[in-house]
Amino acid sequence: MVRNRGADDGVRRLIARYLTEVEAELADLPPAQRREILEDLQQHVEDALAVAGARDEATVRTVLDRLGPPDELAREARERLGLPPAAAAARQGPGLLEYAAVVLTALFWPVGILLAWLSPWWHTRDKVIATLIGFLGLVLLVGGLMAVRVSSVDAVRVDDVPMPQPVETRPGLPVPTVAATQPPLDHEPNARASGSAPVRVIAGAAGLLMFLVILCCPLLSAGYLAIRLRRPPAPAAPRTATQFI
Amino acid sequence: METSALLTQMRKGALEACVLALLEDGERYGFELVQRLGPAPALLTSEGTIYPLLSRLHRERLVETEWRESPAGPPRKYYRLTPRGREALAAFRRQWVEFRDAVDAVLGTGESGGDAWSATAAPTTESGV
Repeated sequence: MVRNRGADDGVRRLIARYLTEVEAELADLPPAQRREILEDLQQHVEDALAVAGARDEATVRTVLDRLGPPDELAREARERLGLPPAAAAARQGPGLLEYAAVVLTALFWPVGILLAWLSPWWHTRDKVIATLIGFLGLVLLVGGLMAVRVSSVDAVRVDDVPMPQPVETRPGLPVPTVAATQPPLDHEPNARASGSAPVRVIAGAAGLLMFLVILCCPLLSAGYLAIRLRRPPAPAAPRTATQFI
Repeated sequence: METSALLTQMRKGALEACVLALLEDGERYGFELVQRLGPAPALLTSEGTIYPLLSRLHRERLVETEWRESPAGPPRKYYRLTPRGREALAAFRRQWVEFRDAVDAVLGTGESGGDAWSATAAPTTESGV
C-alpha cells in the first residue's frame, strides 16, 4: 500500500486522541461498560473508514464528528446506564476528597491512598503507580529493619572475638550473649565501642538513609497524585467533536 | 427549546425499541445498526450515542454479543437478540401503539397528522417493525 506514513500516523493519532478523550469522560462508568463502549467506538471508526474508502484526515474528522463530542457520549452513557449526573457535578473541579487524598497520602499514607482510590479524578493506572510508590516505602522499611537487625547482631559478633581475653569488666555488666538479643548497643562499655564503631556508623548511616527514603515515599506518592490529578474537562458548552482533536 | 428537550426524551425511548427491532431478523454489528438508523436523524443525532445504549441492552441481557470473523477484515462483535429482548420488543410494540393512538387522538395528529415528529419518527419505526 503506497501511503504517506506521516499522514497515516496523523490519522491514527486523531483517532487515539478522540478515544482517550472519551475514556476520560467515561471515567465514572463501570469498567466493563467503559471497555465495551470504547471497543465499539473503535470498531465503528474502522468500519466507517472502510465504507468511506479513504483514510485521510478530513474523512477521519467527519467520522469522529458524526460520532459526536465525547462529553455528549458520556452524558448519554450516564443516562442510559442509570448513573447519577452527580458525577457531572464532581467534574467542576477536584473537591475536598481529592485534596484530602493528596495531603493525607503525604501525612498518613494508608488513609490518603484509600481516599485517592475512591476518587474518579485519577486514572486507575495512576492510582496503581502511587500505591506502588508507597509500597516501596513499606518494603524498604521491612528490609531496613531486617538489615539493622543483622548489622547489630554482626556488630556484637565482632565484639565476641576479643571477649575471651580478660577485659576489665565491671561486675554486673550484661553478658555479650545477652547484649546480642538487645539491639541498643549504647550501653556497651567504651572498651568495646572502638571495635564496633565503623559498623555502627555504617549501620547508622544506612538507617538514616533508609529513614529518609521511607519518609520520602509517601511524599513522592502524594506528589505523584498531585501531578496526575486530571485536568477538569472544559465546561459543558455546545461544541463539535473536531474541537477535541 | 422545550420542544427539543421533549424530542430528546422521546427519541431515547424510541431508539431502544428500534435497535431491538433491527436485531429481530438476525445479528448485526454496531456500525451496521448505525447505517440502518442513519436515514432517520430524528432517531440518532450523534452516531456514537448508540453504543452506550447497546452497552445497557447487553447488561440487561436484552441482547447478547459474539465475536466472529467477518466476511472481510478482522473479527467483529455481533449483537443478537435474546429471548428476553424479544419479549421486551413485543411489549414495546403493544405499548407504542397504545401510546401513539392516545397521543394522536388528543393532538389531532392521527391519519392526517402534519406534526413534525409523527412525520419523522413514526414511519421509521414502522419500517423497522
